Amino acid sequence: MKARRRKAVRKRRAVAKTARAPLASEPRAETEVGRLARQLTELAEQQQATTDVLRLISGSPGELEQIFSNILASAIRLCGAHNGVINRWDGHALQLVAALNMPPAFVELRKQSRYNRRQHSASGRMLATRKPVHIADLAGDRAYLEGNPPTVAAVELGGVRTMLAVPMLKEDELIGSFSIGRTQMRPFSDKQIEIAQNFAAQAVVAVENARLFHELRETLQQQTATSEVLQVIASSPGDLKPVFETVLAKASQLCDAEFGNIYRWDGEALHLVAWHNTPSAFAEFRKSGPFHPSATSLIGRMVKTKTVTHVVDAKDNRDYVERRDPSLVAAIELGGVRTYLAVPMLKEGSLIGAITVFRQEVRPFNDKQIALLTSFAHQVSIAIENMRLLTELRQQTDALGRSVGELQRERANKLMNLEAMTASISHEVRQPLASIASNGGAALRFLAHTPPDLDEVRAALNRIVSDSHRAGGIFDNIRALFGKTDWDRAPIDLNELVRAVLTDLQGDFDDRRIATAIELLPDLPLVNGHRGQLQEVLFNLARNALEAMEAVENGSRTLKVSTVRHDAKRIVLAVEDSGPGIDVKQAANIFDPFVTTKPQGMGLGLALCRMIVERHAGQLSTAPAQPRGSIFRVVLPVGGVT
Amino acid sequence: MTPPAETKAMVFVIDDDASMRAALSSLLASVGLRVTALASASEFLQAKLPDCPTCLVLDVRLPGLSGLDFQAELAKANIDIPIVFMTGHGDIPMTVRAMKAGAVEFLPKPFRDQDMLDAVRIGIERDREGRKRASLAAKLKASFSSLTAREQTIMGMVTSGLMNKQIAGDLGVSEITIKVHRGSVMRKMGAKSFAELVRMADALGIRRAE
Repeated sequence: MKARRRKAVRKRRAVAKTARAPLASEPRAETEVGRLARQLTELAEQQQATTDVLRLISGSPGELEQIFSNILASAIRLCGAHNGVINRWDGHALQLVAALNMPPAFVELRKQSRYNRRQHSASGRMLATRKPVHIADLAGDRAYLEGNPPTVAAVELGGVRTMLAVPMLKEDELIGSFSIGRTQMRPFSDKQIEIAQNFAAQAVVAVENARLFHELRETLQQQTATSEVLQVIASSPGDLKPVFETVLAKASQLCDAEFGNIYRWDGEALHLVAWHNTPSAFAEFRKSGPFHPSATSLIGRMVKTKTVTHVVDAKDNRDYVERRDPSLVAAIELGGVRTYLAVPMLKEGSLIGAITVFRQEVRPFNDKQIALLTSFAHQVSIAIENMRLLTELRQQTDALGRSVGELQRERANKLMNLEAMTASISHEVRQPLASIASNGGAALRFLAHTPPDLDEVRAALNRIVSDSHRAGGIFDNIRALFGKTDWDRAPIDLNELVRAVLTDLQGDFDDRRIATAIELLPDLPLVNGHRGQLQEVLFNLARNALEAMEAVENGSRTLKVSTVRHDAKRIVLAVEDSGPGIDVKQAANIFDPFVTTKPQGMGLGLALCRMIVERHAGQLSTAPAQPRGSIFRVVLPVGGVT
Repeated sequence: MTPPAETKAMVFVIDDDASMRAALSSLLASVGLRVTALASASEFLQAKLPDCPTCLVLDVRLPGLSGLDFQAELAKANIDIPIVFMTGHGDIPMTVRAMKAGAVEFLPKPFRDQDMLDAVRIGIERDREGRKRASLAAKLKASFSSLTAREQTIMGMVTSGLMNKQIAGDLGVSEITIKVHRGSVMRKMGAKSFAELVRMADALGIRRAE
């Protein structure tokens, strides 16, 4: 504070004249060298102050308050002022943002009241002309005399007499005012006005810097949030919950909202699927059932128009005032909601859900926040779609895996059946071959007797002939069963088939004291199939039952054959014996080759029975009977394969 | 071609296939064997067994009771008849099981006629040996039971290596008396030498191991 103060206060109207006053008032004794030296010092100081301010601006761009204080301090010092104020212009009014050496009462008053444009006030003139306004005696100014509150406050609370208001201009746009004042009436010099303008320009730079800084930081925050959400989407492909939670947490934070919800839309109602900080009573209300927004309600309109709904004060809405929309009433009364923003989530133009953020005070969301929430809604939509595609892919993969497994099983079955068939055929053929070989050996030996026993030779040769025909017959039978006629299907009445086969076996049953119980369903639907093959199956099952029951010494020997409906499309043929039953260990592979009981009749074992049944698109299974014995069930489709 | 040694032998063929039964019967008859052909194991159990060398020819798969189970049943009932198995399946575990249980042979169908005849002959021979051993043992038992109680005791003592004097001392009789008893034991048992008597005592299990 080297500026010398003058005690004498001279009233001067002309601003131009007062500009030279401080210099004119310097002592005459001062030499030219001394004057130049002082000017140099002042200049150096000025430069130093500017440098300090610029360093501060670049060092801590976000902290405007401190920068303003610093600028004010430097301006006051270099301009020989006593106090200073910085106001920001928001397009309608000036708002105090910084003050130095002003009493708290003034700051308090100015912060509470908005500084409206008035043509005749100093600021009013400055706003109108966008030029510095210099008032040598504020107490004598018209604004003061007319009682303009800021002017009165400046004079009476701040003790300002001479004031200088400089506009803060960013290019041509007014962004605020920079004022300095003196408690004595002593006009500022031109040089001081120039210095003040310089500092005002620095304040503009600081404001612009801070704006850019905040913008950058905001953008960075949004980018970070977006990348975090994307990361969650990428890292939890099978689970939407973490995605919803992250999105809501970030959206609430960046939109400066108290809480948020995510809903899924099923075409009729919204379902709450995720929430963040939502008051529990409100969340419970939303979870308690689907949320059917009425067409006229705010959310109903969002559903209909699929556009962003921004409600500044939910309490103002008629749906709330007239209590027409219970969901809105719940939001306000259970959630304390005042301002809220709802953004639809869309997939190819159709609604799939919504994301909402809420404030418990009336404070509108800005355009950036709306854009941000919209972008989050897109991300959630993508995550949902991702999830759907993934699930679909998994299902398809599973289905594919299943059908491959089925094919493999089918192939294994076919191979097994082939093996069983080969084994059965070979067993069948070995029987007559062994007879033929033995008969041949016998014939040769009887021929070698002396004399040759020709009767025996003839008998043996006859048996050879008959065994040869028998071997041939086996192949005929196999061809009849599985040859070209295999697919000659005809409608078959299983009941009739049962009666026919059991009649054939009646002699065997009688020999073994086996009782038969036949329970046939009347009006049994026909099956489409190969009669010979199905007959063979039943014949085999009946023969197996018969043989199993030979082991029963004491106790009943009963064969039960029944037909029942399995379901609308299938019928069951069941053959139950009262034999010893199948060993549990054997039950699992009873249908495998070599596990068959002694083959009879055509000699095809259970493996071939199963093969035949499967060729008829049916199933053959076995289970223990009660109190003992086994049940074999043949399940066949009604109408059969076509 | 019809060795007299086998004329009295009897072969049981058990197969549920009638044609197989006929063929085997004929083959076995062609070498002079007597054959009884049966359709199941239970028929065999009901039949009266002849007192001559016997052999069984069985299919491993029989109605009711399988050939292998039948083999086990016979062993349980202490009926020791050599068995020749036939099978339509070349089933190795089954073969092993049958052979371990003492089967003579396991022939896959169709077998060579000579293989069957050889197997049957071995079976009959085995049974003949068995019967011979059994009849000798029975004869021995009969001779032994014809001895008096005192003679039986003395036979046990002398074949255990005791001197006449020791035996006389132990029994409280004179040495002469022991010598008389000993002579009558040799005669009644039909032993031509003392060594033979020791073998008989061994077979009867009456030697005292001292």
